[in-house]
Amino acid sequence: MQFSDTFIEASQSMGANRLRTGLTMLGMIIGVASVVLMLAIGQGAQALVTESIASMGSNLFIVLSGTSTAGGVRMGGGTVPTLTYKDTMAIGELESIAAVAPMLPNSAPMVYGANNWTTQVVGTTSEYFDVRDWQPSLGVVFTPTDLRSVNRVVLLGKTVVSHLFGDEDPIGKTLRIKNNPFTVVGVLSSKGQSLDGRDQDDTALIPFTTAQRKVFGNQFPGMVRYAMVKAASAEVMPAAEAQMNDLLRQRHRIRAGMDDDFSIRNLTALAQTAQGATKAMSMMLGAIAGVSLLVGGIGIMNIMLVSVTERTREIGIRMAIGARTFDILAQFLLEALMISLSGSLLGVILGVTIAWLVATTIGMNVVVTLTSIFLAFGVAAAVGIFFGFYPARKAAALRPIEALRYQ
Amino acid sequence: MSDILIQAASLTKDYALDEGDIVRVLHGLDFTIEAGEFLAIMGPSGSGKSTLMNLLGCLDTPSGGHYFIKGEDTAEMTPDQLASLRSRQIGFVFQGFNLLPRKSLIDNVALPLVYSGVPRLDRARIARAILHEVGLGDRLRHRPGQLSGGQQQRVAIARALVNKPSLILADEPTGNLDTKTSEDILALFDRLHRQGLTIILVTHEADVARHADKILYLIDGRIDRIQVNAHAIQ
Ligand SMILES: Nc1ncnc2c1ncn2[C@@H]1O[C@H](COP(=O)(O)OP(=O)(O)OP(=O)(O)O)[C@@H](O)[C@H]1O
Ligand SMILES: [Mg+2]
Repeated sequence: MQFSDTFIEASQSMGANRLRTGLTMLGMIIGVASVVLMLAIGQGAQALVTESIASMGSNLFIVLSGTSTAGGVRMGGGTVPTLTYKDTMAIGELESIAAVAPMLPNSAPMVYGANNWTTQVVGTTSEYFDVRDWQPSLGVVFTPTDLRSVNRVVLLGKTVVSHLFGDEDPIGKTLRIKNNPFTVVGVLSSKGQSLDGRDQDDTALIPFTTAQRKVFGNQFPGMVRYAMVKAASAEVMPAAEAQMNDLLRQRHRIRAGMDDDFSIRNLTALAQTAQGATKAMSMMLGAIAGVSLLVGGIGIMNIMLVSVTERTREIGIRMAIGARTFDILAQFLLEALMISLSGSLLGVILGVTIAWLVATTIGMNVVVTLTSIFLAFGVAAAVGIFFGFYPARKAAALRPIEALRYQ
Repeated sequence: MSDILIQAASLTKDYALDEGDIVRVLHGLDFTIEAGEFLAIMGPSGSGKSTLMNLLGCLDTPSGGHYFIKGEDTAEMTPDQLASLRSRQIGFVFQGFNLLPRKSLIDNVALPLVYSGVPRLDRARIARAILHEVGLGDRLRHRPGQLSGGQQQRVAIARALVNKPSLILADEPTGNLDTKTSEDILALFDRLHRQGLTIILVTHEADVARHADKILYLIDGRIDRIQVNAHAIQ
């Protein structure tokens, strides 16, 4: 029996029971579509996390001031100012530390012409750009001179620029932050979303000294909200953490047995945790989708078994007029394979379409890769062969007379 | 005319019943059939005629004894060798036609050619020619369900002939047909017989059995006698 004959026989029997074939195919379609979609969502989330981690900068710590116990209530980090500008400078002296940036963030309205926009204005030093591996795409960063002279200069994030300036070139323009005139010296390159989903480009950077003395005023002179610290390398991260801890306890005169009045967080470790979590999530999504693919496969097996039983007599007739075991096996196996392959083709189309809809309508980050399509397709074909084989073999193993006698 | 086509040696068939009992339906049959012979098998209902035909057609395997075709023991053949025997040597006409209801007449008749590896274009030509021969050349695209019993019987015969077998096995081919249709079908068998085919048919009717060279009487699974018809002696 030639392949084309087997193909015709299989298509005819698929066509003879269109509704049933369609329903079986539906199981496969849903299975494959969900695998494609879930992989797309999982990979989208992973891509997002990887991107934000890369944008965060590497080997990072964040040192927060004040987690002391006040009247038995443990306060959140950064609530009680205990960390000084001088502390951050001392941290910068440590051998294991590459750069330190003191941070004084505050929400403030900014006005340019008729436009206004409220954003997070951060007072920091020029080391911040090294800590975050963040360079301006236009203009320059501020200099130690700007800090010493308490200059009113500002670097803007992309989002702020687009809200205040539109298409206008902001460099050299003057805008007002809390009614203080500032000159725009640079525009930061785009960083996109942070791990916690904030827009990192919605920010403005001003010299630390200017922030302290001219913009925010200061109830606690010389204090910083937190500091961002970059270790010299990934290997020295544990040593750097211990050294900072010792240094700050010593500077803050904390006796042995007393609680720290600061806290150090390893952002790189947090990032790794986040990465691990998204990976686990996308694997779980894939597994759930895989289960539905399996259910689709069992549906095929079920239908093929019914089909074999229903057509036992026909199998007997075919054998009586010369069909070999292989001819019968091939016919039923091909039928199962055709159902699963056409089902998975439609499933891939459906899955990609839904992924596209999800991306365009709710803006979820999805990544459809060729690998995931081939994976879904390959698994579906394997499922078709695997679940088609048993009924096909059952049909082929019948003795002609038994099949003919079947009522 | 002395080539032995079929030889049965102590051929037995047992059936296992649901209750676990075993009934012996054929009790050690010995006979030979020569190539080109026309044999009729007669006997009361339940005597084992269909059982014997199924063995001769290689649709079933004997419980004991041996069945040789052209000197080869069928017991030593693999399922695929038996399939190829059914495909190329044997044409089986079933008591209940056994046509595939969803296929057209021409597709039904061409199906054995599919399994014997004949190219598609030749298949249609051969099947058409044979359907013409049995007088159904104008109904190629009909389904079996659209035909009368006699017409379906002729389609079944056409299908049995399509691979040019050397042996035709027909289980009551005229069982439920009127006299006129029976005569037509028997005329067809006579013609095939003259062309040199070996024919074995089962019948209840003496009129039908008269067409054969020999009549084998089967009673309770044993050969009662083999009678040679007068016209075959000359
Ligand atoms: N599959 C089977 N299982 C058990 N017994 C069977 C089976 N097939 C046939 N028999 C028994 O074997 C005996 C012979 O049956 P068979 O069909 O060969 O008779 P027959 O001579 O063809 O009868 P008829 O003229 O009515 O067609 C019967 O007694 C029948 O009950
Ligand atoms: Mg019978």
